[in-house]
Amino acid sequence: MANKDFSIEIFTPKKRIFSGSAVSVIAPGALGYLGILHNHAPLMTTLVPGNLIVRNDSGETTIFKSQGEGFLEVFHNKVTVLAEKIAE
Amino acid sequence: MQNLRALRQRIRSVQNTQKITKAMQMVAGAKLRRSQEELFAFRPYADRLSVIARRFAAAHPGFDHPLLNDGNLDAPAGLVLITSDTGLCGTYNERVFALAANFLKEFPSARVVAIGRKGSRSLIRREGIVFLKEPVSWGGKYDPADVLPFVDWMEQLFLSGQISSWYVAHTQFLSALQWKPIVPRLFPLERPESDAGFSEKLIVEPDSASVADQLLRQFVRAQFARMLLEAFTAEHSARMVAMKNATENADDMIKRLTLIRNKARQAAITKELIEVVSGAQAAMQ
Repeated sequence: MANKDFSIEIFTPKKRIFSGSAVSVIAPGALGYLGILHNHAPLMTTLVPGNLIVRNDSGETTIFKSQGEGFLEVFHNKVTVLAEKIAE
Repeated sequence: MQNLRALRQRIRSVQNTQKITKAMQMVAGAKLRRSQEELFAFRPYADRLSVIARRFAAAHPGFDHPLLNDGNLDAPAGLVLITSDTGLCGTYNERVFALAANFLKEFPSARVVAIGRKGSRSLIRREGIVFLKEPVSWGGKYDPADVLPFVDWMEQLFLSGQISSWYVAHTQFLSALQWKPIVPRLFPLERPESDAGFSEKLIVEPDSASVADQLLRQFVRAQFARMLLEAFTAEHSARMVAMKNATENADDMIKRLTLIRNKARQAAITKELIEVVSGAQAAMQ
């Protein structure tokens, strides 16, 4: 499993919400929910309010409720999420 | 020789003042810590945003957006002046004013908005200053709910051609003991430098125009938020240093006054002794 994961970092202006590895991320993109797996092509998208679901390689999922506008970038197995606000 | 009672009263009043300055120093210290944490938590967000903007610029050479271009050049410039709401913070406000005064010499027709009551009070006395709206007072605290509408308002004036460009006179926080007033331009935005190492195909959703739009809007908000955080952090640090100096000065003053008081007391005792002794001698003769 180890080579199937990638790193993800989630930031808001207030703090770094999350940093770790994941095998899949489901994000509320502007065109609808999108899934990201290992070796995803470079991508940049705007986010709309919704649930950001991060699953790690032991199968645990964490859900972040993103509020307001946001950004998601995938680049070389590194996902960066910039959200205006995330409810915890 | 000064009156002993007056000296004692003076010492007590300096001691009381010292208690106040010490308390203010502590309060400013706590606020400094908090806003420094906020500033340091904010920096990574702003940094990632610039990285993303640079990659976007690399993938879209020559992308265009109204926020990147000159606005209506016939319109006056806008100046946002970030100062403190209250005084007792040393030269913090004066240094921003000096910079703003130079700016207004260069752009005499500039319209001004003050954040912090001190800024409006100092400028209101000068002739020919046009305020765009009432001074805003956020009490040295950064709250997105106040700040985002303000940025939108600036953006709207810029895009509608009422203001040719926006500058922000504020203080940059360098360390707890060092800060520097600067007046950078906020609108139009500097074009993000493109990331030279980036050569891949980038998927952009929903389309490059709306990504560019949102990217730049968040970028400008982040820039302004960072300026505010820097200014507020610098303000607390300036106030803490000013109050620390005041407390130390009070210490010196108390020491000096105590010395004078002791001398006065000894002189009074000596005088009384001399009187007793010479009185006794006179009686013996």
